[in-house]
Amino acid sequence: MTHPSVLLVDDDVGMVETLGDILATSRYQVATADSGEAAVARVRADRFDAVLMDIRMPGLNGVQALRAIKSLAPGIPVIMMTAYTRDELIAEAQQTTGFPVLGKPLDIDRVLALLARLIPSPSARPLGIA
Amino acid sequence: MAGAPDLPSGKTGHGTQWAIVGVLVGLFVILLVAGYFFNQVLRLEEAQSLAESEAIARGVAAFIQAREENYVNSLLAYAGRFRFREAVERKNRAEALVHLRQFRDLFSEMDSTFLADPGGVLWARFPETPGLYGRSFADRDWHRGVSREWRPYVSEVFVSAGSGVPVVALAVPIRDLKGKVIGIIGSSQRLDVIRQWLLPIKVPGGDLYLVDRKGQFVFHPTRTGPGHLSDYARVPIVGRLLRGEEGVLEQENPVEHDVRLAAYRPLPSLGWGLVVQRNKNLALQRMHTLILGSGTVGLVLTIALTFLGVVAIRSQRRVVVALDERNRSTEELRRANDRYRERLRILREIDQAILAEEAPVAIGEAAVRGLRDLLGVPRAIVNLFDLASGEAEWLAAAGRRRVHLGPGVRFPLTLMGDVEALRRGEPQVIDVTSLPRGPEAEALLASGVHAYMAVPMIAGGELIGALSFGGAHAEFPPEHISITREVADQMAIALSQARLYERVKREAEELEQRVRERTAQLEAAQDELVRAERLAILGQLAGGMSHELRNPLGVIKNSVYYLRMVLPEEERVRKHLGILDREVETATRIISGLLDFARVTPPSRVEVDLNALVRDQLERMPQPCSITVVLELASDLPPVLADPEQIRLVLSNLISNANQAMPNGGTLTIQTVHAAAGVTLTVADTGLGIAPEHLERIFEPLFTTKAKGIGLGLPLAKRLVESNQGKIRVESTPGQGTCFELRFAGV
Repeated sequence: MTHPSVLLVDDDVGMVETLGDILATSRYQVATADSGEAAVARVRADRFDAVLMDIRMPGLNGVQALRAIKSLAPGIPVIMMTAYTRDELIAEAQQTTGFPVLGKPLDIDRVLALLARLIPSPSARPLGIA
Repeated sequence: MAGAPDLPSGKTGHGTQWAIVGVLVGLFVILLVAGYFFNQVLRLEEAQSLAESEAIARGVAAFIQAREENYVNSLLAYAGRFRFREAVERKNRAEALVHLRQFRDLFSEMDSTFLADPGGVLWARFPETPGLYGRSFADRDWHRGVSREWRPYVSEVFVSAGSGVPVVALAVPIRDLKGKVIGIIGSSQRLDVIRQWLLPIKVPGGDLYLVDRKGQFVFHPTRTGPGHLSDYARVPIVGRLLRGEEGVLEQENPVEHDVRLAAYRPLPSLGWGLVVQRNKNLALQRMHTLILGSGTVGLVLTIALTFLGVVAIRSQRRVVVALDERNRSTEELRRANDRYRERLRILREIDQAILAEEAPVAIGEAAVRGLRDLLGVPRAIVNLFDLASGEAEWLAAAGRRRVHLGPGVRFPLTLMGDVEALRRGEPQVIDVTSLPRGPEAEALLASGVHAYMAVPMIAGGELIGALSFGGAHAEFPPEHISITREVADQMAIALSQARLYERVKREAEELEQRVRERTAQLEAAQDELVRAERLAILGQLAGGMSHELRNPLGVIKNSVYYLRMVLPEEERVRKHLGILDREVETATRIISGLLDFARVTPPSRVEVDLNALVRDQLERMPQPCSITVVLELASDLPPVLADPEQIRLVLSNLISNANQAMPNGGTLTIQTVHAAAGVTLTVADTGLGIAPEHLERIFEPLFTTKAKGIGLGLPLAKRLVESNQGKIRVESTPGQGTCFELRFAGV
């Protein structure tokens, strides 16, 4: 049985690496993408249990990518995050995903709790780092 | 006869002859004696006539000179006036005309008053004659005369270009403050006016005339009009006058065949000459010749001559007496003349003081002082009328010894007599004993004033006040009244001018004050704009930077979290991870503060329950256990109209400030009160407090006393409270704590 897979999308390499390590340590299979375009390509190619994506990115921004992902896989839960607390994109993101947009710096406990709620009993599965 | 006893007694024929010879010799002696006496009579008569002529000439000359000098001095006083000089310097014709009109009003006998530049080009004249403006009068005698040494000059007779009648002109240079000549003020005097005041002077048995420096008649009893302009320089006596000589001359009139004795006298300051001439008694002179010529007149004639001799002796006595009389009257004339000159001098002083002073009180004091001295009265007062209130007020008063400051003494207008009559220009005599008994009347009687006279001051047809003077008796000589009238007229003009000047000055000051206030307002607005601009730039910078910093902070925070997950439970490592976590939190909070400050948006105001907001915010900000939280929330608190998120931000700032002010614990008290003017919310701590010198600056952006923090929390709170129509106030005692008070209007 495989661990639940999470696609982590951010143009900030530090963010992808640190959050990826935390998620991996928490027994998620972590895939990463550094742009909206790459994220859409990954979703088209593979199946993920959840997507964690930044809003502000060069090229295709988070919300545009979100729309593309939702059209490819309507059932996939997407959690959006941003460093900009008053972005006009926040409202749209929130509406599309149905979840609150998380502010950076992230409250990791909250991220993990949210993921746990979306993907049932990940901790029951054996540990494995992707 | 000593030799008579020696004569032979029989020689009677000789005796008769001797007797006849004796009688003839006696007759001859008698004739000689009579002739001598008669001669004496004639000489006395002549001397008397001459002395009289000279005395008249002296008196008349002094009179004319004093009068003309008064005009010249008045012109000089005008030329020295500051505002007038300014008008001349700027060639401001409108303003200069006001002064010229005023001068003409003072001396209405003047034909015209005019202004020319130093080159003699006319640029203002009253009565107005625009046709003459710009015309050069450089070749006129008045211009040549005044410009020779730049001294006052009285011109020769000429026909006025403006009015076409013979006039003389008085011209006076106008100098600026450095003494440079900037123009000429002149005034032309009609000869028929001079004639009017010289004609009444009667010379017994003769007449008088005046010539100018060219030998033209300034005044002649029979020659008028064009007759003035003939040249009489060839007449011997005029010739002597033109040479500046003084004396008496006997001259024969070829037409009337009589001889005249003329006293002539130059008036050097005017360039005029005066001649007083009288008929010599020719009949007596002829008889004198006849008697001296006939050595052989008979006894009858001798007796007649003897008789005449007796008559002559008597007449001589009479003549001596008459001469004494004349000498006495000459002396009296001289004294009267001295008195007149003294009067003119004081009047001139008053004039000059009135013209020179600018403050009404100073003008008034100059006038009353002069008037008191001139009239020799115990008191003289300038009273100003307030016709609307029916009151009068002293502007200045001169008593026997000193000049009082006038303003302040007020009294009913009825004390000035019949106001309607005053308005018509009629002086009023007021008998103090007939006044109704009152403090004013008592005070007057106590100071020895039993009657006084009020002479109206009328400016521009308006009755503005009265000059009053009084004493122990109700007798006011016509001379005093005419002098007082003259001073009153001058005062009226000067006062109305001074009032106008003061009004203009006051308005200018008010304007200046308004400009100063407006400038201060503009400067304050400018400062505010500059500050707002600076804050806006700071906000943009801070906003942009904060976002960029949030990402790396987020990464650090993630790393710490990861390390805590994977590192063994070693205490020192835990501690450092804790430090990292806390510092990241602090940095994040600072950045959030910056972002908040940079992004104050217009409030979206709704009805807010402050009590609920306070509870909610305290829940979000758990306080350390060293701090006791006391809530005193009013149960009847009405809602306020405000943006809840912004007020929450304010609360969060104030609570976190209170928190930081109590590092060793204390009490945080939050209170809401339903006040008359709305709602009050206070956040009080028992912390370190704020030093008084810092207290007024804590709402300034970037002012901070904390080691950590950039000083935006309180300025943000103030901005937010004020943009929600509220007020924020602070009180603090160092060592005891700080209390912030917010006020909002109720809904």
